[in-house]
Amino acid sequence: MKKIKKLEGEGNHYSVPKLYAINSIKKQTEDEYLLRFDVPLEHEPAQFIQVSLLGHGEAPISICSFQDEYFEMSIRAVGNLTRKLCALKKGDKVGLRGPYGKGYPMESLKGNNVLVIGGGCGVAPMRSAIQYLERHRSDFGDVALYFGYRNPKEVLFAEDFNKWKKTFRVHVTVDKAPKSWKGEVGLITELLQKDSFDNTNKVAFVCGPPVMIKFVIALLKERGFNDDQIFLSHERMMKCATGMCGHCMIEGVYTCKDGPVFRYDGVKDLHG
Amino acid sequence: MEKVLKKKALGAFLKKLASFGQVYGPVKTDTVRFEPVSHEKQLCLDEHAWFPVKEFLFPQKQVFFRFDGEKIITEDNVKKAVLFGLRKCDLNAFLINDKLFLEGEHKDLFYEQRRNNLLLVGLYCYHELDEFCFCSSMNLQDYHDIMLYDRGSYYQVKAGTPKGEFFIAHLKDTEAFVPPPTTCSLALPTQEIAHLFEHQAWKEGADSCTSCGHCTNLCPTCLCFTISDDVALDGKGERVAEWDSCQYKEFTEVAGGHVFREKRVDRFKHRIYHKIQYFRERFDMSMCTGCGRCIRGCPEKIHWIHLIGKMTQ
Ligand SMILES: Cc1cc2nc3c(=O)[nH]c(=O)nc-3n(C[C@H](O)[C@H](O)[C@H](O)COP(=O)(O)OP(=O)(O)OC[C@H]3O[C@@H](n4cnc5c(N)ncnc54)[C@H](O)[C@@H]3O)c2cc1C
Ligand code: SF4
Ligand code: SF4
Ligand code: FES
Repeated sequence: MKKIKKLEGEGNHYSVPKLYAINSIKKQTEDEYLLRFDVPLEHEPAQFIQVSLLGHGEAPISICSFQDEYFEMSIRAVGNLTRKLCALKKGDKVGLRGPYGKGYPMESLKGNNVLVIGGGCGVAPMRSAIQYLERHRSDFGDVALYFGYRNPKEVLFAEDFNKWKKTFRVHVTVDKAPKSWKGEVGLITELLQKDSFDNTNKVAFVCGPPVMIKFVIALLKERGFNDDQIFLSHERMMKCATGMCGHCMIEGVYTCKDGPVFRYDGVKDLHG
Repeated sequence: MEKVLKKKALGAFLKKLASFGQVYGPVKTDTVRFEPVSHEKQLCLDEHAWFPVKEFLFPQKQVFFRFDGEKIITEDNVKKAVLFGLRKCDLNAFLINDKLFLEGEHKDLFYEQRRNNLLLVGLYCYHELDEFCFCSSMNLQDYHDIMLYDRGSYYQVKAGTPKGEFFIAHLKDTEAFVPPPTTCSLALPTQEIAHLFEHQAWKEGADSCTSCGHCTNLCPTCLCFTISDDVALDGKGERVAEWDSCQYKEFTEVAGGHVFREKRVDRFKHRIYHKIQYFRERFDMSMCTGCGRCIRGCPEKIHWIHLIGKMTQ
């Protein structure tokens, strides 16, 4: 199948989106919905798309799948636009432009053991990398997934876990849980501490809230990880996604085009 | 070949330029700004224009596209204009802005259309125009379609491009002239300020700053913007881009209310670091042209050149 390289509208300006009908929309949690578009898009895992509704604005949303015939995005309803997007039906049209940014450099990481550590909605872009790993299973060594959520109601992609358990080591924990929860309880760092992993031939993908990232990196460093073995995904305010508007700058780095996935050694000394 | 333009013939030259497009030049009203000119007497050629000419490339508010239901409409920007009397600092601002809008992986075609429809006519500075100019310490390049050098009763005229050549071809030839370099009393001591990031003196500047955004508004190379939708009651609307400022707190606010540059000192530093450190590291040229507008126009009279002077003493 011939893949599409770029979603873009007609006309003469980068800001113009192309309208696509939603092929399926599925409720995932109280606030999160999974949108699928049956478009064979060429992209890197965890690149993002500028998603818009004419009249309601635009937002950067990560691609959370890695498939040939379609792509998916998981959207959390937090504000004006995202709430409207989550209330759409199959067949409704949304504006898309992208993909933008740098995702996980999977090709160059072949041969490694992989540690994937995600918290909250940080899990969405990682799912794209995990689906890549599923499809190129034999190119990688041991793969361990660690996911932390605040409570069982917020667990994203629960239905994927059973499938992933067949090929990867999967650990899911929640900060707090009612008795009915059968899985682990406690912070993700506690869960990681119990595991005796080291840094041999390994890379770690980390995505989640800033506090979580800080603790996870400290732990990885303790276990001997070098800075160039760690990949982080950053979230910043974005408007243009093309390196022009200035909103996403961390010092001189543009999150929209140099990231959102960064190798830790390149960004660890940046302020803000 | 270099040319001679008698000052008496300036009016006729403006008319000649007008065959390219509407001529804009520095005009003094409440302050000096670029306005349409039809007569040389309107020009104010001995003061710095308070406002830069960046809106000729990227207007304060512009429509990216209009929409009506599912229909999306874009319009071309092909109005031709001549900017007359630009100083070297403002001419260099074009080169700097091009880096972001034309030379990356993505290009802003509206910027390009506007850019290609301008004729840039400069007026050389031998000295600073006022105490806020510091261009002589900023390694500016020679860049113009046409440049005028005041030589008393006449202007020596040079073309920098074939486009400029065309508009001076009719003038009388003269011998080449090497202008003395511009001198300014004020100077930025160094563009290398990475090691000063934690310096206490930044706080001094930031403490008087009110985050009003005048500095970014007046800067010829501050073109950060936001994008939003304007909708009318009938459902028709437009996606618009408007200048924004890194000095505003909301500039880096994300979902959940987190602000990355929450502290004023971080915003204050970000502007200056972007201007003379970050941009230079990426593009090998400073983003600051030394025009002095951000100091000239700061209501709190914050003088960041003096501040850096203090840190590097
Ligand atoms: C690279 C990247 C990938 C992302 N991936 C996802 C994803 O997969 N799923 C998901 O649900 N969300 C994702 N987000 C966050 C998402 O873009 C914001 O939640 C969304 O922009 C909020 O828009 P809104 O109109 O609904 O909210 P608003 O009503 O505009 O405001 C809600 C909050 O969101 C902040 N916000 C507004 N616009 C942006 C913006 N352009 N970028 C960041 N924050 C903004 C506001 O400051 C405010 O605090 C991603 C963000 C980035 C930068
Ligand atoms: S003009 Fe002066 S007071 Fe206003 S934001 Fe800039 S530095 Fe601060
Ligand atoms: S930072 Fe100040 S001096 Fe430098 S170009 Fe901008 S307005 Fe001019
Ligand atoms: S989002 Fe505009 S510069 Fe990155």
